Amino acid sequence: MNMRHNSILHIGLSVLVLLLTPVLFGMTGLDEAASAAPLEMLVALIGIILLTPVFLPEQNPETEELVSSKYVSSSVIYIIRVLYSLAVLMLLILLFAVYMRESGCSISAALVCGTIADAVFLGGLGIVTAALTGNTATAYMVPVMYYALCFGGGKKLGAFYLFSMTEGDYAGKPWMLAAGLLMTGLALWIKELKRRWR
Amino acid sequence: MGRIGRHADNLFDLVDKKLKFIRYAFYNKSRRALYSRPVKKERGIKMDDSRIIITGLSKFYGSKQALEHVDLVIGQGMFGLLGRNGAGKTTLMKILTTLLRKNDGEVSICGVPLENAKEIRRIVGYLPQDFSMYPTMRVEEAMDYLGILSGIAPGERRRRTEQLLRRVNLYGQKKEKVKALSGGMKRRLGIAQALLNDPKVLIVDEPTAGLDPEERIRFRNLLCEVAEERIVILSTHIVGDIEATCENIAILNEGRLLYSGTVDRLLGTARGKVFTREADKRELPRLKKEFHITSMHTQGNRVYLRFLSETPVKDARLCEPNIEDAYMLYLYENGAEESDLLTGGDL
Amino acid sequence: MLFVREMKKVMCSVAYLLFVVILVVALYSQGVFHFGKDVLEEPQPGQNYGVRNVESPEQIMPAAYDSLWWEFTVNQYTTYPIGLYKIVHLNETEKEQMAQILSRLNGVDKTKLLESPEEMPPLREGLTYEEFKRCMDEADRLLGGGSEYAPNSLIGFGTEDITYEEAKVEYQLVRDKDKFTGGYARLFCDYAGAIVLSILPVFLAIVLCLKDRRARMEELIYSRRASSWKIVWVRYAAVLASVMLPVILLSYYSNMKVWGLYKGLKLDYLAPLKYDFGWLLPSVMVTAALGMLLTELTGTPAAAAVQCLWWFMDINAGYKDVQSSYALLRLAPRHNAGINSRFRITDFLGNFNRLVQNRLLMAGIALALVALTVCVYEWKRRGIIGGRKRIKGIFTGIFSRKNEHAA
Repeated sequence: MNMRHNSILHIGLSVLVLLLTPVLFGMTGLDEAASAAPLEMLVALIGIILLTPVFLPEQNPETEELVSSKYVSSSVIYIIRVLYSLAVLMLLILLFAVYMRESGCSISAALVCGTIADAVFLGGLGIVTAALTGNTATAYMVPVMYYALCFGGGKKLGAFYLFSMTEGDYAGKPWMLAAGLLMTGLALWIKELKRRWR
Repeated sequence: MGRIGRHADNLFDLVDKKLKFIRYAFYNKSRRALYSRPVKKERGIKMDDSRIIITGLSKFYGSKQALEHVDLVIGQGMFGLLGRNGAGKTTLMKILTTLLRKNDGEVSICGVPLENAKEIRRIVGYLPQDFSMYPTMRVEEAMDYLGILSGIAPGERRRRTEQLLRRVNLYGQKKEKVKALSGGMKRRLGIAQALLNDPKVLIVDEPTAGLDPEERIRFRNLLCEVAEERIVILSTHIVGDIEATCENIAILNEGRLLYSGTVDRLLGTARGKVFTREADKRELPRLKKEFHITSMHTQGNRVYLRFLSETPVKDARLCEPNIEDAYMLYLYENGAEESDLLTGGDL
Repeated sequence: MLFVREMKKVMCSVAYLLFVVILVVALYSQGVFHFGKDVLEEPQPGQNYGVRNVESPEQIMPAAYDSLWWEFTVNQYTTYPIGLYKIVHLNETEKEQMAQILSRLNGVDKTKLLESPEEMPPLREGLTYEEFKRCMDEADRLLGGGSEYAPNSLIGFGTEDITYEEAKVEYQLVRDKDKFTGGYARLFCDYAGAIVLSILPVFLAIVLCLKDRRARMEELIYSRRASSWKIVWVRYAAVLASVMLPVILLSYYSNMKVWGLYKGLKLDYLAPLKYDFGWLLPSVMVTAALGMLLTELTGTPAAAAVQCLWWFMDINAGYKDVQSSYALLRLAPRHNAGINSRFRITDFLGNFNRLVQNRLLMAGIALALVALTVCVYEWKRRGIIGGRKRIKGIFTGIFSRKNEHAA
């Protein structure tokens, strides 16, 4: 199951974003609220990069037909790929958190989990759009715009406000994680339905 | 009602052909005037207005040589390009359609040098091996879109779209979306789009691959019809296509031109070298080692072989060669391994 | 004719539908369709007209010194080097340098300052504002730039009340220059440009450019007579037109809501159109052009990542001060800077030349990028560059080589 070949570029891009973060933000001796800024504003973006293109290898209709006719159900492949992406995502965020901690920032478990929740939520938006539209380029639009909306003062988004941890508010994060996972599940289900209808 | 409709079509076709002839003659005249610079003499080949002349054509992909000093002259009518996968057929066709750059050599199409890409695109129609169109576009819309890109005026575009769709028998599907078409229909639409600009040269790459036998025959006939008034280059690895349609062919192998000439001459080269015999199935491994088998079929325990041999063979009957035999012989005589012939050969 | 076809291709895509929906939602969330509540009334004497920043040494010197002193004692400085919040801690040598700067301000010996006394020493007698500014500039550079002590930012420490006369002048400017509607159009541009139009058009360009390959139609189009020049420019124009159409409609929808508020006054009914084309179009142009170039070049949606990064840097480049709002390299100029009056016409007029320069520069870059796209398209068409395969090959080559080393 050649997952690495397709995802290597995206993992590379995620790492690039992580490497860029210390350049854009100061990374030494941040308190918890200050540490939340780079985590929520940049690190969470890797959710979009890693989760949205899960269906990309089969975007071409012919490949899709070929894959859906294979013995291993394409759903199984998708599920494995999603889990794999989630694992990479968590690993990268953890590694980054460790790096920040080493640089003297105060990092709590809640902060790390909150960042993962943000990333999964953004990725969930992407993956569900990808499943609906069948076009990855289009799918990136939704999470990117959600992010932009949060920038433009998205506090009206309530529990789903992306940058709440910067203000010390962690209450919405479990919701975001749940919603992100729900959307990911929904995306897989839509994909399966589409396959059956073909 | 249907009959009247068909008559009307034919009449329309007839008038159209006449018009086209007049236009064609006029067009050629003006073309000649346009390209009336001194006729170059290259390696003894005279530049001609209605031929494709290829001299010393080479193409590299990095260090891999895809075409090696190909010299070829292609005249009016159907021209078949034979060769295995990877022999360089598609590369040659893409060079002729300006989609790939040649590394060396001279090519002129109807007197226009290949470097003049814009003019070449004007006189060449191309049907790629692997193609499709925007899936959500309707058939006539797709034709119209490509017509615009060919620089055809609106009225002319509509007229030609209708005429061509009728000709490829897709007029009934003109309102259908491209994604709803079958493989054969898509191929026919492909031919229609390639003919939109009324090209002097039509290049079709493996057009019959994946078509059912009935569709394949219809498609061949369509090509023959089209070839009455232009050069049609057809690449294929299906021998039946060539046999049924082409008078002139070329064989490419590993980027080199092995043969260029008429089908008859090709058959002539194999005359007296093709034999058939019947054998027991158990003898097969031995026979395979001994002869260059071009085809076989089994019936119970018996197996009927067709093979090549320079000298008469005991127990075997001499028979009339077909293109497949001649092609195999050519490959064999030019150094292709027998194992290649049996396993890698696409014929 | 080709233009209409290409436009249809853009507008019939899911991406475009999403674009329109997001545009409406994003603008709605920013209150752009509720300008009706913000009426600019002629100032009357005796009102509070708000404050504005002013370069008054009497205010700035003690306030900035106080701030620097406090940050020095805790050794934690807040800066915004590229607009993003960054905390700076100084090491021992740097701390000493900072003490040196402070000692020039208060006349106390730096060794004493390093012992971090409880009381803040007062500023030295006879310290000139020029000398003070020089010290602050040095402090800012020591902190890596982007602090409140930077020459441009110092003004933030000084404020003064706006007088009735000034408020009246401002009102007259709005009435005569903006004809009211201009101010609202500017606000529309601020939000639309920063949040949507300097990022989303890239996706439309990507989708349009990838469409041929997705449909496996590339070769059919490549072998046509139409020149690469024509194909690329027409497609570019189609993206621009498709983006601008809803923008123009929405800008009028937003603007029309205030027309009724200024009955009997002379309004500029063309203001939204002028601002749409003068202010927003260059942002859209450069965003779409980048999308086309990188998509044709790489055959991937890589342009999205690049544009997102650019947008991220741009939106963080600050809008709190007028200088950076109208900076020359701004992707989306901001109009949220300064205090008081929604219209900030004095800021706008004061920076008008720079805005014009910026917009022309962006439009120029956009045209250059499209010209480059034409070249790339022609190269791909002639088989000179292989597009996706080749570039992707390079990447995977690098990665697989890395993997080999790792293994």
